[in-house]
Amino acid sequence: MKILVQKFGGTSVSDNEKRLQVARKAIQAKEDGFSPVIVVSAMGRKGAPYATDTLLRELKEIDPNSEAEKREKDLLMCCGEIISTVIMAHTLKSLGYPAVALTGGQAGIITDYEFGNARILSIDPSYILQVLSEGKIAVVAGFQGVTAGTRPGSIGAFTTLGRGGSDTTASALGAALKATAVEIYTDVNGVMTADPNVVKNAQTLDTITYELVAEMAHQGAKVLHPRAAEIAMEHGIPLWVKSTFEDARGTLITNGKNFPQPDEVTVIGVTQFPRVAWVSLTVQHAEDKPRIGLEIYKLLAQAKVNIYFVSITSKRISFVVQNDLLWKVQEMLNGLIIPIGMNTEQKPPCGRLYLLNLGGKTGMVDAQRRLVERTSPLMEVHEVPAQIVENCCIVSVIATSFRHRPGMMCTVAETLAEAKVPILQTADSDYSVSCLIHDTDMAIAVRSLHDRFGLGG
Amino acid sequence: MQDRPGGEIQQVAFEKKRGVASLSVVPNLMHVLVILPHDPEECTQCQLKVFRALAETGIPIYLIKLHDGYLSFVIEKGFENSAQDVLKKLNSNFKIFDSMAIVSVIAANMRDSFGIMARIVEAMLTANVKIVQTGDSHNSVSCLISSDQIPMAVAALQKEFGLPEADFQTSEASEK
Repeated sequence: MKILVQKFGGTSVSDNEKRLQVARKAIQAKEDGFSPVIVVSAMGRKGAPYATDTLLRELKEIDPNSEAEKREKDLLMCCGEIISTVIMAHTLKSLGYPAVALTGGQAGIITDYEFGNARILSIDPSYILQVLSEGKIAVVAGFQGVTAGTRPGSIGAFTTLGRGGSDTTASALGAALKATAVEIYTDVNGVMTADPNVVKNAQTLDTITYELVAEMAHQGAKVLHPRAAEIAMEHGIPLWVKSTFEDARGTLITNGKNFPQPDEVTVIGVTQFPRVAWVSLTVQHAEDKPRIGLEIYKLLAQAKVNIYFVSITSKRISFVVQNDLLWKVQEMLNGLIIPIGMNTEQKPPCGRLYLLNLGGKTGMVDAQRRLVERTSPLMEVHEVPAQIVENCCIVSVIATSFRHRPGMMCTVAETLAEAKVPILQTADSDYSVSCLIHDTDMAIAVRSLHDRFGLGG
Repeated sequence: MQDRPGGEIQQVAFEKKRGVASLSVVPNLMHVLVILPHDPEECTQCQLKVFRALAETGIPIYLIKLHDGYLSFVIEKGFENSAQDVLKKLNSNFKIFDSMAIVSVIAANMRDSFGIMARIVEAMLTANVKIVQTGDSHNSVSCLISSDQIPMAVAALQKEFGLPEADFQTSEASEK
């Protein structure tokens, strides 16, 4: 049995006309001799009646200050995908193709207990295989699984897989079913050299490696989720990214075979990660900076704030956070007091106190300073002022093997200088060179780099 | 789950355990600091001159960071003489710190992982390892440290992330 897993996102199944296009893809696969397994997301995006955000809003509207139980949120969120499978299976049946709608659990997907961000532990594909052997199309709810085990009340509890959940479902099912390939359908023709909304002449890549597509996603491209790429890579399943609405070939994501060798550098694309803020804190005593950094990183991690572009100088700690999380960072860090070198045996204690000033609530830092000066007169109080640049963007050039080739940063920096785009900071990895710039310069920066590296075809 | 029909169960293990999977070490590196003018326009021009001259001489640079008044980057051992020549020709004020290494923590899905940086910094601080610079990619966080601190850094990170002692790769930076 040649199995083909096809995954369709929320936009692809948002209305009847689009669902018919999805059905045509599945029917075509069947006509081509494959046994199709369709993975679907909840129908539509924000605002659509059964979209995940809409379902969550129902909970929020009860009491905006009361957070629902994660287990129950998952139960609710799973409904969006389940509705989608039933509608899709019925669409196929109405066209004369028998189909069976399956929840993640019915498809055999077993996860751990991390509600909201569960990890797939195992897949028992026997029921899907039975459905397929009966000549039916299996329609599986993406983004979900169930728990197994012995915890009372949690056996068979619905879990959601977190970001990229439906891509992950498709990839994992592909591996469990030893599928010929997994096809991820989206609203573009494949993995593009740049966001086509920014660069009109962006091209579709024929092939890309798992590693590079993961780096593109990391740097902001809205392509396949890295978790899906990782599973496919581990199990050697070819992944395709294709358009639901066109019949273009799409992009094959595979291992490095037939790809440029490591000593060749091939620029693959340019990505943008917009709406970020750059936070830079100045610490007077360089020797205390690591401890202060550690306290800040710990607090941000506890608050589930991801930081990027972490940079260290003798007196500065800087990092980038998403704009919409900046308030959280300011609320958490502004007025924070970090004690260093405390001698508590001495009465009153002495040492250094670092008082963070991120320009949040007026008076907070002054109030803290007065309090400390009164209660701990022997402590040295040092302010840690922050410079915050909001509305920035990370623009990245993605390529094979940067590190062993001279001149990549030179080309990037020269291109941006010619386009009069100031660079605030840079970062690089094996697969990317990134520049932090102002959001307003994003389009010109992406277009200039795309042109400079000849990606427009 | 109980009423599922079907034949023999073929369970397949899937997603790797999240978090840090391994470490990698790249020794034989040098950290270069180049002092730049304070005027923003002059500073940009000076950065470009440095990048261009190094590129034309065939010197790969990475972990590139822009700071107030200076630029820093890493070169592989063996390129130090040519880098010095280039920077001297540009009349740059610079410093080269030798015997550096990059220790990287490898973890899938960095964008969805919280607290890895905090754990790295804590482990390194406890082991008295000084982190000179950091970098990140989709599957790694890298720290530039002094080569003589590699054993302490590796041991501290292995302990912090519960990795087996043998579980790290050393990729020699090519010596020219």
